[in-house]
Amino acid sequence: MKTLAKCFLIASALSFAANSTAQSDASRGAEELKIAAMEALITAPPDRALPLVNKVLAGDNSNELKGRALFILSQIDRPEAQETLLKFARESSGELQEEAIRMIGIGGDPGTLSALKSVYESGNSEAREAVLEALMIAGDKKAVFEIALTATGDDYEEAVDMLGVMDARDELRDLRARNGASEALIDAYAISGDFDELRKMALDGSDPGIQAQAIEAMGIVGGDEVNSTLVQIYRDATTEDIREAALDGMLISGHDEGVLELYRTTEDPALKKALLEMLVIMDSDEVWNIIDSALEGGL
Amino acid sequence: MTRMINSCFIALLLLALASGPVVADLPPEFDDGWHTWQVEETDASSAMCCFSWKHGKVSQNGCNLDGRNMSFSKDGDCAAAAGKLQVYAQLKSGRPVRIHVLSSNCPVSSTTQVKDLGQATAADNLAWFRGVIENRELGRKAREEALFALVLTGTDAAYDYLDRLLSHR
Repeated sequence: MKTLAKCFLIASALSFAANSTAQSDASRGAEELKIAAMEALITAPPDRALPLVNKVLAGDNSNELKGRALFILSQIDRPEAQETLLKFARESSGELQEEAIRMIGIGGDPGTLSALKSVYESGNSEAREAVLEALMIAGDKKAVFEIALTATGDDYEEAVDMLGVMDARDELRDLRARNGASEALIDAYAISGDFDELRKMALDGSDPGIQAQAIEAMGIVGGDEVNSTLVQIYRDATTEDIREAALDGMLISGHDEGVLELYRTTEDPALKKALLEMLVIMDSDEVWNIIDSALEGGL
Repeated sequence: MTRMINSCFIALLLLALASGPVVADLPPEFDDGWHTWQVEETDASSAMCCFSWKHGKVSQNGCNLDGRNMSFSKDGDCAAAAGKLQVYAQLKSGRPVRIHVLSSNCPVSSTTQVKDLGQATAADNLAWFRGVIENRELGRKAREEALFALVLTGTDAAYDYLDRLLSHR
């Protein structure tokens, strides 16, 4: 017994420095085990899973574990599961609220999704952003469009961005018809790949600022039709801003062949210089051929 | 001093062995390959087997233990009599690496021998699962598979254990 007591003392002394690390590892291990146990409940019948999920959500647990519990709830097709999700979306705050909102999107229950409108109206900017993400996950273009109709400032722009991500071309065109063009709408057209709408704006000189943004955004859409349109816009340009926008569009779409074509056909030395600089920026292989030709020509 | 350290080592080892988790001998330690055992679980709801569908018809049923993925279903022809579970565990270097819980009448195939360990008690079975789940030396995949398999057993004892695990402070 005396030996055993000494052993404890020696062992304690030896392990003292490592204790806090070991405890931290043990704590992390226990947390990981809880998360794995929660995830395993995905295959459990609702009657079995719900009591455990609710207990975790009501307890003093980490946000990560509660987040997994909210995911399990989102997969349970029961009114009480949806009610709990909505309760967390409305009444909790921070990460947990945002996670509950997103889980409503993943769950995709139409009734709970429609309740997100009131969460958007009463929530802070993070909650509003999470609502837009949830509606995007659920593919509910109509709900995002309705938010965009009444939103202003940054909220309007975020809703428009989300419609772009959702390829909601009809809704975006409707917004332009109602509210006029804006940078946010142009970006959304580009993200949704709406070349037709961008071309209309690119050829409309009534607002040169919007026109230049639309020309540049066409580069994001890319493709042969975009490339040939950008080359033509460059040729027809009557202002430096439009010419520069077309060149930027070609840079974005990677159309170095078009820039090279313009370089070879342009007579103006200043424009030729700008086009050559663009080819260098684009890291075009043709740049070396041009330099060789220039050297052979006695530069 | 050396003698003291040796005595300490032996004493601490004995203590560690005495206080460590109890792992049932299911399957036998260091006996690699697939093992299976049946468990009588009166409150089990498992009716698990593998299916593949082609043109809306079941073209194959039964599980290939060597397959990468198994398409499980809780419905269909493999519905076992309630309360009978068949556990499959693959050991490599003495450690469980894959674990499945299937209906006892689900056809199973493997290119290697599957050792049938016969019947196990519900308590031994749960103890084996606990031994895997709580063993931090094991790979994460094996421990997660054990958790999923335990949920599939659907027994009160399994859910009581999960409840304790999730409530642990």
